[in-house]
Amino acid sequence: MVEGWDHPNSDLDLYVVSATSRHATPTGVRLLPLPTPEVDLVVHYEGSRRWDVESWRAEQVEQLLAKLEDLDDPEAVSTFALAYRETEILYRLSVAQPLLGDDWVADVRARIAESRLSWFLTVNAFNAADDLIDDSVGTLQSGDYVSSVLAAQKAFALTIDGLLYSKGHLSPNQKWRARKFADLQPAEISWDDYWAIETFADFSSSEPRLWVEAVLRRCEHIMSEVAL
Amino acid sequence: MSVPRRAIGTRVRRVGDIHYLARGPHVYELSELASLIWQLSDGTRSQEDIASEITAEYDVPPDVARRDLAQFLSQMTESGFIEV
Repeated sequence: MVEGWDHPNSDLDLYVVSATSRHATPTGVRLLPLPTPEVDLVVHYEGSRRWDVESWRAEQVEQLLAKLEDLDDPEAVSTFALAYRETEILYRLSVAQPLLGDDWVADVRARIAESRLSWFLTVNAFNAADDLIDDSVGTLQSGDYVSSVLAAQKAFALTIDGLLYSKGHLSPNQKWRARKFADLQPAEISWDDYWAIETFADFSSSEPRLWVEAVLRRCEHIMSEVAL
Repeated sequence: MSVPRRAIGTRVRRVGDIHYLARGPHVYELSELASLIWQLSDGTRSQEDIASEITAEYDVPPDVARRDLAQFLSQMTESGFIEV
């Protein structure tokens, strides 16, 4: 609801960040690669609406923010990694609607904005896209067109993810790619061109090579346009 | 007249206005002029078209633009970054 993308089956994601508390009877515990790894998860229903309530401790958020500072260290950056859930909570913090603790949220949000998180996510997505381009080119050369097509499509998706990260949208959830794209309207590629590739609209099974080459060229063009 | 085009499979990153290219064992940091040529080598412009754009952008004599362009494209073609 915060992003305005809810639908009848959406759950409500509620994050409770406090100094020390943990939930007494959690539905589950999520483990993150942090010095304090446990995050309690409680699933709750209000009528037919599901609530996912995550209980975080402020020190865990602090640990994540401290981790981001490694992105400023040329030696540490080469081995820097973020788990999906870490990226997701950073994204959530960057857009969340605070119910309490506005000042704390504002401070965290400012620190995320000042970090190189957007840059890291962009580079990471582009690197993964490049690996898939290599695979797509290789399988194309060996006549394995089906693998080449799939690798090209995935490379394109990652290129778009990287592009959207570079514009400051931090959500790692791929299901929102098109909505993010529509909101941001990046100059590097039009909606029509993006959607045609995303949905294989102009794919011809009799000419897969042409489609693959056009998609890969598009990926490389986008990556060459984004200033890191 | 040849129509240069960037070869698929080149890893490209842009930092500010500088492009970095990597392909196999070859890695290049492009100058501003080389970056412009790289961007213009999209398979729609002839070598002469690109030389004209260089002349207009950098205010250099056409023969100098053609010579520098030919030299750059030769090097990039040899290392597989550009197809002509």
